Amino acid sequence: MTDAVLQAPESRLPPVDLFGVHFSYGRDEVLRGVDLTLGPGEICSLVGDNGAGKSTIARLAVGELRPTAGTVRLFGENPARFGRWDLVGYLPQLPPEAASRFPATAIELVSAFQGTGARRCRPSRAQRREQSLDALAQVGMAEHAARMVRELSGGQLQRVRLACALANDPRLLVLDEPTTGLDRESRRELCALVAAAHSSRGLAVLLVTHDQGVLGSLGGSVLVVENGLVSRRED
Amino acid sequence: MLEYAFMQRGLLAGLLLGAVIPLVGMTIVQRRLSMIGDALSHASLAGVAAGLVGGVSPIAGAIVACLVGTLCIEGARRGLRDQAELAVAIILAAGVGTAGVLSGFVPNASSLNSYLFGSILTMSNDEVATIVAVCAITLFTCGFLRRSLFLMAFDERQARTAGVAVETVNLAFMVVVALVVAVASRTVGSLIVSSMMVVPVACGLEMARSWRQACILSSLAGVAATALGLVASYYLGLRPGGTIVLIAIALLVLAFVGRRLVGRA
Repeated sequence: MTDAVLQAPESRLPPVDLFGVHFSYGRDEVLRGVDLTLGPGEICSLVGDNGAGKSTIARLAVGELRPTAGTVRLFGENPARFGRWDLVGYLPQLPPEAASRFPATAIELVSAFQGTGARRCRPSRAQRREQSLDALAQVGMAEHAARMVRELSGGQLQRVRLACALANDPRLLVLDEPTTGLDRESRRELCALVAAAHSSRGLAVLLVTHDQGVLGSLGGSVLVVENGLVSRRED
Repeated sequence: MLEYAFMQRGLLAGLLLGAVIPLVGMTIVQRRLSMIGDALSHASLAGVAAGLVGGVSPIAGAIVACLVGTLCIEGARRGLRDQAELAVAIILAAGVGTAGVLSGFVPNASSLNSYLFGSILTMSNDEVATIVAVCAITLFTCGFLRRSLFLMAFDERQARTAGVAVETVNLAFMVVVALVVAVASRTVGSLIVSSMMVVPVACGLEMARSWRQACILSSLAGVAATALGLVASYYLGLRPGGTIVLIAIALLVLAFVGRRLVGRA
């Protein structure tokens, strides 16, 4: 990280802070008082059964959902009023059919994510192209820049989506089941890319996963989501 | 053909709409909102019928009905996320029902028919001016919001964390769609406008190798189908709306066959 980045106020704030968070889908209360703090540069993985509320926590953290009670802070701000989206890279679950029909090239997709954030000037088209090629190169996809997204394999698509999430050099990366549907080799490659991004950029990672292999390769703390609460897993 | 003023007006309006309808159709198809195009076209028919019964401009009636329909659809989409498709179908049914009831009070039934399948013969200068204004608004909006619409077409959730004000962009886009559907009822007809949002886009998608190409080729397919359709309808005495859509389908078949032949070569 550069000195300027280290001295920026957001570098000292916890990227994610949940306190006493409750959430319900209709009458079904999924979270019952969740406390979770993810510090700068930390890795935190959420594990648990299907429907336990892991993805809900990730969605609350990025402001996609609003808690029914409790507080959520993203870099110290209420996500509903958050304006520095360049600090956040988000990789939500994507229905397989969504990418299989999308008529855009990998570089068009990454380029659209360049220059996010209220305080940033959007780069020119040439700059975006150059930065997008660089972002694709970092995930080993530069040679596929002109290929249509729908023609990519599952592993290649996830690498392009990771390039999108990292396009603005964020301080927080939120990954929701990023290895679902990938073969062993693609899972290993994706984990290596996330680990490299974490160590080289010092970004915090909030990961939702079922995949024990991912937990092993990324390290960090592991929280178990169960009965609407989170608890630290001691191995 | 071009010596007639009505044909000049019809071609101007038709070609502009031929370019603009597939442009909004591109986002609609990618976001799987084609049903909304149908619902709005039926709402526009109710507005046309209300305009004819009330003695005001049918296009003005269609614009009001489409805007009301859009607000209802957006309200239903936000409030009933799990049953949004059902809500759209109910609004479509409400449009058909209202149009059906009001059609019984329309003084001249043939005037309503001309909005069902399109008619360029009786288009006034004011109507052409309205269509030009709506097309200009649509082009400006789609151009200004192109990055947001692109990101939302890929994944609304990821678009939100890329700083896109999803709700606001969505509302602005749907208002533009409502305006386009309303004014297109005069040229291609209320029952056919939703086809023009889909068929030229399918043509563009068949041939394109990028999003940019897909947008351009979809618009070109829309312009080509409209131009050929209007000329054919003039010389063969056919309804323009139906002719335009059938030619668009023929272009799609050509694109489909052509691509496979090129792929084999």
